[in-house]
Amino acid sequence: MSNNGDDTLDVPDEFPEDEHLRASYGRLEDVLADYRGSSEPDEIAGSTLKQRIMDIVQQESLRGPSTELVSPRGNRFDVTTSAIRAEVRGVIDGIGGLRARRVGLRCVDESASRFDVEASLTMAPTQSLQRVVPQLRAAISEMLNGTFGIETASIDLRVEDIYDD
Amino acid sequence: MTDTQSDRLRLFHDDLVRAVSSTPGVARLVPSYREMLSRSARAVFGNDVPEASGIDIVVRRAGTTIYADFYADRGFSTGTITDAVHETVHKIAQADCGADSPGGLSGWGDITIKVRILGIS
Repeated sequence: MSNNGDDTLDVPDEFPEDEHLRASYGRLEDVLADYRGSSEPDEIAGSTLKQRIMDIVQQESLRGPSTELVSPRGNRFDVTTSAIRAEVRGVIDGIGGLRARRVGLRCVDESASRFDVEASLTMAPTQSLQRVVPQLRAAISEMLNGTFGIETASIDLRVEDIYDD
Repeated sequence: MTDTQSDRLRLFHDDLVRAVSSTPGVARLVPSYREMLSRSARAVFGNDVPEASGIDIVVRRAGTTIYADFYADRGFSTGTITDAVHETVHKIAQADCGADSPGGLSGWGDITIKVRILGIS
């Protein structure tokens, strides 16, 4: 990586191992090359541009990795993994007496958007595990398929604690 | 790139932003990298950014890559939204290539569309 002080406007030469970040950097590199090659009426100082580049890098870092999915017509697209996890948490929290904790996704078959899902949760003592687990599996599976086109290969649910408040 | 080519690219970009924004299921576009580079960081990262473009267009000899980042509306299938965005982009690109192109940029070449959905709103 070069370092020429505040006027350094290049994105890093050595991209991180993370595939998501490499893709983001590749896009940033292309857009930046176009930006520098075009005649902007409001040209900005190199140090300001560098700050904006770092803002983009930081924002991408905060967004985290994406999950690649396939549309009904076979077009590949990305959804931030945090968005998918949030929707699974929403399903769990939407059932009375359950609170979502960690959610994990593991791709089983990329071409078919097929995933293993793991979710941990806490449960109210009044909730019936035998009754709620099938309901929860069905609700998670339905949401993932309807919203993201994800086929669930397995759904592993783990009750970590019983809460009483 | 000449001024005429830049103007054409800007018009193409604006057409894409309008069309993708109004695609059913697209809740809102987010600022594109290009917009973040050219505007103040405060404006970009503010809560209310109505003029956010959300689309980066990278034109190379080998073809054109279009990056669209957006939030999806709840109740829509993200795959169906993606297919609709692909269809919209290709329609606009074809219409644009059919029009006069005085800047000498005769077409956009092979178009690669990269859709990224940042969340459900």
